[in-house]
Amino acid sequence: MNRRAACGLLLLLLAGCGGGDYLGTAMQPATPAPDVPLPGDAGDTLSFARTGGMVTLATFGYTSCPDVCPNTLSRWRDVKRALGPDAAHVRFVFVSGDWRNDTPGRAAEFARAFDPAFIGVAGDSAAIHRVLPAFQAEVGYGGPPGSKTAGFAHSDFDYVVDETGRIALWYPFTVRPETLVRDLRRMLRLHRIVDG
Amino acid sequence: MSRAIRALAPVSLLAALALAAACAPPAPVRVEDAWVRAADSAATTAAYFTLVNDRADSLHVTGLSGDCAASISLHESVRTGRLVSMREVERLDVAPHGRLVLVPGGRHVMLTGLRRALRPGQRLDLVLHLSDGSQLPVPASVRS
Repeated sequence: MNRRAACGLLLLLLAGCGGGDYLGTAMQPATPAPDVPLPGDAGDTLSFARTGGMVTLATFGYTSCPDVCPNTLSRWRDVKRALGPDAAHVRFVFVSGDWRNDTPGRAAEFARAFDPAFIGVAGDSAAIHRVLPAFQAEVGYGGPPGSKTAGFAHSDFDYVVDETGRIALWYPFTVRPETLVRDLRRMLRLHRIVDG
Repeated sequence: MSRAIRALAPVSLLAALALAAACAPPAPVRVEDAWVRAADSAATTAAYFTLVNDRADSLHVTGLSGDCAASISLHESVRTGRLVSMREVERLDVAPHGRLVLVPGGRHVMLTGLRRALRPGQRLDLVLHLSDGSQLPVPASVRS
């Protein structure tokens, strides 16, 4: 194998590992976010496809979630604080997938309790199920196997949607705020949304 | 001289008491790092702590109580594929010389129907119940 072919193979291998420039895992396949309007507070709607040139950090949950969702939004508050002025180019979006119990107003209030700039949206069953597949996320009613109580189940990942509306990266629940800050800063600069 | 000693005596006594308290051996069964997530009145939230068991026998936590919420129960977040949901836990065991650690995304105390808003910096007092009938105070700080 000549040198150029070896370099090409190496690049291909690297491209297949994780997010390349990022610590987060690249969505495979890279998927455009669906253009589904999700209602938020006061008649506002949000579509992941319509980014307004901003990068979006997103998660799915429900407002009576005591453990996972508050931890995610609390992590985002640390992320936003660490981003400083860069945070002006990032949307923080919490989607309630609990269409039976949550309202857009409740979702907005839940997100805002963690930071006034956080956006909370909800949707009916049809809207939520149009959004979820592109994120490879799931929600459902019912507890885990062996549970006596019915509850709400949801994917607990964080996602980064880039300014073109492409779902670019995902992170497990255990992601550190520093990891998200590093990737968001990098994307804002690589995509020339922020100079530097 | 004697006046100086008399003047210093109360200070010395306080210092000696503080030293004695600092040197006292920790209780063999104790709660550490207890905290609860801030939330609005009527909302649902979770509390976390570490229970240290320095005894030679195991401990069994049967529940927690307090007047701050309509319902207080032990839960754990369970992952099934891409889904996370919660399961109620009737009892949590702590091995001899072991510790039980409750953290976000795992085992936690679920407080449903808060009777008052919990704001960062406040303190919430819960009581932990063990299977032998004993109780331990859980002074939890409210965090955002």
